[in-house]
Amino acid sequence: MKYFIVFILFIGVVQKFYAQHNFPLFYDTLPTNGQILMNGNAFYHASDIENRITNRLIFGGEITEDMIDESYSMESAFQSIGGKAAVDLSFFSPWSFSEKRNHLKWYFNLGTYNQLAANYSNGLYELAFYGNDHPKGKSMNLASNSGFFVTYDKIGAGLYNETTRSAFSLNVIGIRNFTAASSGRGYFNSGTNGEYIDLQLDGNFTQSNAKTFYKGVGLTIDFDYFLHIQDNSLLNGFVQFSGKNIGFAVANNVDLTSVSIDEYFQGFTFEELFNIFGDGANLEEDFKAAVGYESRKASPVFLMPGYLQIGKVVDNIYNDKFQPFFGVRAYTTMGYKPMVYLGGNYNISDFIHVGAQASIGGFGGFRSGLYTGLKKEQYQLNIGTEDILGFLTESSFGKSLLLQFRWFL
Amino acid sequence: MKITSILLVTASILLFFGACRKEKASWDTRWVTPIVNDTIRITDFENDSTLGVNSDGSIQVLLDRSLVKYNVLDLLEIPDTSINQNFTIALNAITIQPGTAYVDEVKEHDFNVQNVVLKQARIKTGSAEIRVTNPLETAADFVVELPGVTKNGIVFNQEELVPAKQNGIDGEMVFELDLSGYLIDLTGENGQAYNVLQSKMKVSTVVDGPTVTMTNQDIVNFDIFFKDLKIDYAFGYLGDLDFQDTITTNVDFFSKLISGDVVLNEINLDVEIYNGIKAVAQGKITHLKSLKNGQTLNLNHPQINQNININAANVSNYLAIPSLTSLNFNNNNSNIVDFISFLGDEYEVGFDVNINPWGNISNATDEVFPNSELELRLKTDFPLELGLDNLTYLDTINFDFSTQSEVLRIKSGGFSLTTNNSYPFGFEIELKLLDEDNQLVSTIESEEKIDPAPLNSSGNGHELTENELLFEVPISALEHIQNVKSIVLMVKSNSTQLNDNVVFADAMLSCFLKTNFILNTAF
Repeated sequence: MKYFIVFILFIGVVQKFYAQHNFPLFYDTLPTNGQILMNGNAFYHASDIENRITNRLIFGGEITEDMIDESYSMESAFQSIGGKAAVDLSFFSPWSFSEKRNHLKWYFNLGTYNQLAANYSNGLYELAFYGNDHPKGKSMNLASNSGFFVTYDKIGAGLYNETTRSAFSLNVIGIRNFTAASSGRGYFNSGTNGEYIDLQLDGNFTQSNAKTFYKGVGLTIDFDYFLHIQDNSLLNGFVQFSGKNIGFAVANNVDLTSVSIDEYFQGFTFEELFNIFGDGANLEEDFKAAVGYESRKASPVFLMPGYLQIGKVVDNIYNDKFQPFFGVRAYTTMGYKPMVYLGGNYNISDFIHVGAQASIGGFGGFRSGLYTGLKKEQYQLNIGTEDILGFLTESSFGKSLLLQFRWFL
Repeated sequence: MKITSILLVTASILLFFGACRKEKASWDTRWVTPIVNDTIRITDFENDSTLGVNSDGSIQVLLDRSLVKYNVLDLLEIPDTSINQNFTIALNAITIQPGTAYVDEVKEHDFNVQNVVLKQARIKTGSAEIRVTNPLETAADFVVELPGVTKNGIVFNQEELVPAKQNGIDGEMVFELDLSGYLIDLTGENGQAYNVLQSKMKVSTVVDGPTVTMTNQDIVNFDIFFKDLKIDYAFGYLGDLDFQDTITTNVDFFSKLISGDVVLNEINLDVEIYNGIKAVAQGKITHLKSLKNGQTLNLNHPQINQNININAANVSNYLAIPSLTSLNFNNNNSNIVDFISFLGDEYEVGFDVNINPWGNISNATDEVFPNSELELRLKTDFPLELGLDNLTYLDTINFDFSTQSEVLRIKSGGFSLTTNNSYPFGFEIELKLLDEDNQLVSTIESEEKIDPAPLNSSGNGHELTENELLFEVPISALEHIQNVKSIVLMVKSNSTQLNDNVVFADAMLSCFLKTNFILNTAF
């Protein structure tokens, strides 16, 4: 409920501003002397874990067994969860690239990003939230889990077409933190009375541990390309082809740890117990040997979690009060299914517009969003959410907050 | 305006994300894991040297253990010995043609082996360094032979070409020979002597050399230096050898028995002396002590500290067959029952064995073989009838919980121990958690215990009894778990009955220990 109040606060505070562009979908070709664009994006989305759990994981609080049961009952064999918190700043400069091509102007951007994604089995959910005492005697699948968390900064430069608003930039990425984990084959089984544990697991864990501030570097590209479709009975408007943070990075000198366990354990014999606790025993070394523990340094190259989007945008060239928009978005990350969205934008006045959308895909299922935008003179503020239910009920599967501030120079 | 809107929006974001993390995210998970799963059967110890099974199914204690062993040959030392043989002419000078043998003589030398009459010995390891000198101005063939030293029937024989004298300096040759495996006859030329070694020197001028003149100033010389000689066989009189020692054995398990009593019905124990030397001897057990907590209990027996005659070993196919002399301890001739019941954690056995205490009465026919050993063994043969009266075992295990994870902690739970027991012994178990100052943090105990098995109706075994012991770890212990530095395990045992508490071959104890904990994850 408090999140809803915060949302309303946004609406109330910015009511007096005028909006001209749809958020986050916009297009206009009005000449400017450049502009500064700030985007803030924070979301998390899950296929099966309800907000009553993810809210508490993020914001704190006790997760009760009822909450765990509620999400457990909807578990399918594999689930996904992902999230992002990012702020980026773009500067569309008034400076021409060359005299001959003065419609091409310099474009700069920088940003900071936190992203996580995971694709996990229901067995992992059971172990993590129930332990091995539930369900008794049943085999839990631990195979093919994967997840990562990356924090990085970006700085880039490129060109944009003042006429078409298409843009391209080449970015340098600095990785501040990189953590990844995965499992190959795996299962866990325990006896109904705890009389045995049967565990098979091949797993890897990678964590950046270098003492430098940036623990890796990368190169990515951002691009926006707008295609004008005219005189089409189905579609009049602009289609945007967009990509952000598409590229690769290398994490320097990370700790790569692997385990390979295939154990059917029914308890130690007395002789084994005396050896474990006897003179000269080394518990840590014995345990590492038992689980096939290996550790080494590595510098893995990985695909940056960028995204690609194709969709019809709302624009200011067509003066219809109501404009639809639709498209598809895909993150280049595990567990993310292409998200299809469909919505409509309504200009209430020159000062304010509102919109709504429905989407399906991504890290979870269906979501519905709302947004509004305000404009006054050369300033625009857009705020919205792709998951309005996330603010209203803990039974939903995510939360989203989008913020955009634009300043036309 | 723009500044105001930016600030308001920023404040709202902070409110959205920052206002809600007042506490950690936390949840509980339940974990059940096996820890110990094993069965101890009395028959696991059934073998020729530990336990046996009687016809009525009862257990017989048949220990057979070696306490100490000595190899006599390690005590027989042949010191490093040098022998010298030299030759010169009585005349003023003689002319020697090429190819002429001008020295051929045998000499006897004494081996200084104190107090030992050695007639024959076989070298296990050792060497001889030989140095020969040639005083003539022509090269010479030296043949060094040791007539009493043979290997596989072949007499020790070494031939060397020694260079001629040059510029006033005698020709010299030094060489070393390995004597391993050689049999040395030390009876001399007539076969009646002892500690005597013969040597033979034969020298010839080379056939292709010049004619030379030898004067009475020219000395032909050879030296043999025997060094690092170890023998693995000796025949003769070995001398008066004395073995004295005190053997101390620690029984760590008994050191942890802090109170209670053991009731034993019958003990039958032999201390056996095996003499693998073909020489008579005399020996005695000087003392047998049991020590515990500063107290000492001596084993009393009429023959403690009394000399016993020990026969010489017999010989068959060049191997020693040890003689056996034994000392028996039982309920009637000693306080062996009290001695064992004392449960000392340290045992001391003193002994003294003297080879040839009456001198050379064998007329120097003692023999020592490679397998000749003097050995002390312990043997038992009595039924396992053992009563336990609050016998308490205490052990301390170091355990550091201070590295417990900040994310994962034990919220509640404990252990369960399921047993099936057919030993006539029962057990009560208690754990005490101590901090670094050995102060009690908490106690973990069960209301149940492992019951001693009752006799079956036929009286030839015990009934299997099942128990489940639940050990709940107190919340106070979990809250202060990081202070725990050691765990004291206390086990108190009582038997089905104190007297005539027979242990049968079907005795077994199966234990299944598992944990059942609720872990709290919080971050």
